[in-house]
Amino acid sequence: MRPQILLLLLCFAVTTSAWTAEDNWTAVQFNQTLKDSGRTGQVSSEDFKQIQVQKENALAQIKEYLSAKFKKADDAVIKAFSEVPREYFHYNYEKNYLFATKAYEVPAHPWAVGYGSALSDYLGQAYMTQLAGVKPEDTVLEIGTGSGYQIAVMSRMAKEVYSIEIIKPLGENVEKIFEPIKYGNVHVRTGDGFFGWVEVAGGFDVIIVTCAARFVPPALLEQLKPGGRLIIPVGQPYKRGQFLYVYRKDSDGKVHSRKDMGVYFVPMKGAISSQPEPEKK
Amino acid sequence: MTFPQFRSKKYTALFMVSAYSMLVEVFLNRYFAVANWSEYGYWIISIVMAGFAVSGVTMSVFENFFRKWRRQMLGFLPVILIIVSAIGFKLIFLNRFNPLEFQHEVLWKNQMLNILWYYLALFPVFFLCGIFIGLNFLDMFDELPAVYACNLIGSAFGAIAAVISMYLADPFHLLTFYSFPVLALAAVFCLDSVNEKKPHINLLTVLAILGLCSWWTGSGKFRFPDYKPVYSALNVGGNKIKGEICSPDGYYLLLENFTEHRNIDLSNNYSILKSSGPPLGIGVYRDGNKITTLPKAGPCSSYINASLDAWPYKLKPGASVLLIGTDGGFKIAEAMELGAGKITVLEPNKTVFRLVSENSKMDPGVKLLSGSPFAVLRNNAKFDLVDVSPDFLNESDFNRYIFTVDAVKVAVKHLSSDGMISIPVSIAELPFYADKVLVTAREALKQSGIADPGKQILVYRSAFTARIVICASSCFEKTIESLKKFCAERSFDISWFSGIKPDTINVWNDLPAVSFERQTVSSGDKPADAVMESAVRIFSNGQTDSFFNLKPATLNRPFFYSILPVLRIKTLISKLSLIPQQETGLLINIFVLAQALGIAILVIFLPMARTQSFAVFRKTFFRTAAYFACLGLGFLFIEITFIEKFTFFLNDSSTAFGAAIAGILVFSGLGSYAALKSKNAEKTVKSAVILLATMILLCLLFLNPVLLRLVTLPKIVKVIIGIILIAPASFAMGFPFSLGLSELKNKTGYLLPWAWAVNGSFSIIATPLANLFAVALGFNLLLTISGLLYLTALCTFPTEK
Repeated sequence: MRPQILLLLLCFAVTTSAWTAEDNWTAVQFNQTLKDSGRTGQVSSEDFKQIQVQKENALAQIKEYLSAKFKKADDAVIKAFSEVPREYFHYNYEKNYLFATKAYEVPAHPWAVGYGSALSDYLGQAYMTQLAGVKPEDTVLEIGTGSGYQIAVMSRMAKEVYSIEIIKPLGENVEKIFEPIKYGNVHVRTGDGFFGWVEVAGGFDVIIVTCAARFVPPALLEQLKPGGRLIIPVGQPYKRGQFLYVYRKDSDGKVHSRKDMGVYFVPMKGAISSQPEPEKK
Repeated sequence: MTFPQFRSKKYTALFMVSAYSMLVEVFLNRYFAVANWSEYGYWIISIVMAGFAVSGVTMSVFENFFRKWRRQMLGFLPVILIIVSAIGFKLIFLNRFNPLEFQHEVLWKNQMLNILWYYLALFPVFFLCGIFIGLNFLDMFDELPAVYACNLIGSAFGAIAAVISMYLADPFHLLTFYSFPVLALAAVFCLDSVNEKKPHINLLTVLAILGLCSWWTGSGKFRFPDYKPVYSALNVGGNKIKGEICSPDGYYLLLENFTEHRNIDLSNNYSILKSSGPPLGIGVYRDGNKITTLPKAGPCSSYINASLDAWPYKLKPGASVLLIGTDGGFKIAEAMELGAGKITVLEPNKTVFRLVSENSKMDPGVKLLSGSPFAVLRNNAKFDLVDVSPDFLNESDFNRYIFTVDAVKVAVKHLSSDGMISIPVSIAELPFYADKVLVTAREALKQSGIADPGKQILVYRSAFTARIVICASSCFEKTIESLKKFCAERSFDISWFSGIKPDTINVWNDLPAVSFERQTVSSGDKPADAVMESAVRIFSNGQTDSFFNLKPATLNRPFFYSILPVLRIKTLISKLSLIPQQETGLLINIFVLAQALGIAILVIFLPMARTQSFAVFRKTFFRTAAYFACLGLGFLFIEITFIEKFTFFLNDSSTAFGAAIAGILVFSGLGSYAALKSKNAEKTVKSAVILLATMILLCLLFLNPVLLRLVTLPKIVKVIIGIILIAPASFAMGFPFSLGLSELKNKTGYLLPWAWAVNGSFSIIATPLANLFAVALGFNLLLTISGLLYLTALCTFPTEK
């Protein structure tokens, strides 16, 4: 009997420690984790069910959207989006209210999470995630945590993820929301992203900077591994996605950039067209 | 009370209410610039100004009612207006309009409700102002020119008072504490007219209402909306507000926190260049938008070797430099660090000039100047380098004049034989702005007699900014080699030099060309350079993108952010979320115009509802409508043109606005007053229009050259000269409206307010229409059209003959 009990206890221990939001994610579980993260609000079972139905819809949309933009949706991205409960991040920290039922509204659009920060629409976020090309062995740094949803998605694809929020009252609140859903590889702190996260030895494979200036802070480029990718969305998230600048550091330490406009425009196939349009008569 | 006393109180009340309506309009413009974006404030105010037009129509339809009760209404209206204004202002403070959501294809609907909310809050204020002024026209119809004069001069007083009071308070407190007292004065006089035996009771009543309304609307704290850049800066840990400055050109906040860095284009090859990042500073925010950064503890230039701006300095050590814009003082330190010789610095923004003067220790070799770039370039100095700072364009509205063909021509003239001008342009959102500066530079060189401008222009860029370099002579091979080396070390790109072979260029910063029409972005196997593609087209066959309006900016068309083709409205709406904020003004003009046209149609045809009275008037209906419509359009076209000309001349938008409006309204008022003596209205109007047409012709021929010649004079002298220049035309503009109204007073009574409504509604049309004309065709044509409108008015003078 004893080995069986031990085995049972062991199984229980393993299940508990490895519990994440994707396991047994119910309305009760949702409300409890929300409470554990220090936030107020509740969703009813009915609403919760509705959210899950909408989520399936949204996932199908994401897949279709990414296929149109990149020719093929990355399975890892779709998996990450299906694992992370977006409704958990739909919270306005300034006004202290939950708007979980809007998590997968169609059409996708951004939401204010308080203190001037916005949760971008899920299609734009999916685009940026696939563009970042995160791999399981990667270490990721995000400057500008916001709601925490983007880094949560990347945490499902990468080994370790780090995020720095500049707005003090927002950062202090969002720091607390990952532990209750057992996202142990997410590290968040409040402060100045200008200096990156120097304590992480070896640097980062992917860095996302959400507060763009006319320069990339030197510390961030220093902490970017050779061959790594640094992504800067330019413009307000309310403007239906943003221009994305993608930087790549080569082996000589020189940096190349690319302005990715795929969120807005369908890329043209074939050679570069430098011919002006014919005059309309 | 004696009759003259009674009369003078009426005029004082009318004067004060006219002043109030102008004061509130200006204050609301300031409030919306801070609480939203000024473009949207303009939309809302334009529409609520319809309150004036609707008041006229209402009085015309219910003329008997208003005639019967006019004395009582005039007595109580100012008091009611204080209360209605207080409610209106409180409502707009509570509104959470978000222009970014309004540009979002899904979220815009909720924002429409917020706009409706603004209408409902502010419309009654202007409606009641209109009723009060209209009642005065009805009440004193035997001295209409004097009433109109009082209305105009009261408005002029309001404009001047508004500009002065903007030095004293922020836009929130301007509305709550500075507007009501003007109305209170009118209220005391008006209450005295209906309750003349108890003046002290009237005074106490008005004071009590004034106190209550000011307290109620002023309670609570103004907070910047969360989409304004200043909002997040105010919320970072340890932020300190180092200063607050109220001025007519904006509400300034100085912030110190760990996010406030010098914002400059730097190479990303920091380690190779042994360069550090830009230093911390003090952020300067105007109306919630960051415009520049002040150095914190003495400028630190350890980063400058990595800067995009550095190349001309490296090419010309010891150069005599003219810096246009200071970037808060950083540019001065950077120029010195880069080994510039004699440095002349121009900072046209008065507030930034003051901050830079106080904050930086000036080297004795540095000369810091304020005023117009044209004035600085008009002296005889020659420069090896004219360097425009990256923050310059967005720092002040009037700074756009430096991006005109005329300014570049003057600058080229003041270059030494191998001198150069370096102009930055942002390509972070749309790369087409680089094309616009390129065609401007090309045109300036062509007009300066250069046969092949492409040989004297160089373009290099980072991912975010392009620098257009205009040389005084053809670029030598060694100059191009120097630029190539500079760019290669820093991973910057060369987008143009004469003889460039695009296929051989290695692009570091991929910048694909986009097409609004095809909804595509060009991509190939290797990185693209949209600026290079455009430059090659521009210098080979003069062609630019066929979709955008990329005509060079000139003094006649001094607009930088105006590249949207307004006639392609359908495509623009489908791409709304891509349009930069600075371009939205043009689109808003179209919407305002459409709505104003709707109101005008309503106003013109509403008298037909009164079939009996209308029958009397049927013969001259269209003639009268055309007369007052032409006056409404013509007056505003001239006013807007002169505000723009004053802005260029004085290099200061707020003083230009105050001086031009006050000058035009006062002299028009005097003209209207002089019309009292007219024996033959039609003849007098004819003389006035001939005088006006002559002045317009003279302006078209000589105004720009004269202003350019006098631009170096002290500002106060320029204000006086400007007012003298507009006085004759303004005086002439005062006659036609009041004499036209006088002509109507003998006809059916309701026509008087109707004519005033037609004039008002066309004034609303005039504002967006003038902006659209000016952007598309230029101010000279706008002035010409205004002359033609007055001539048309002359032909349609509402007489029975």
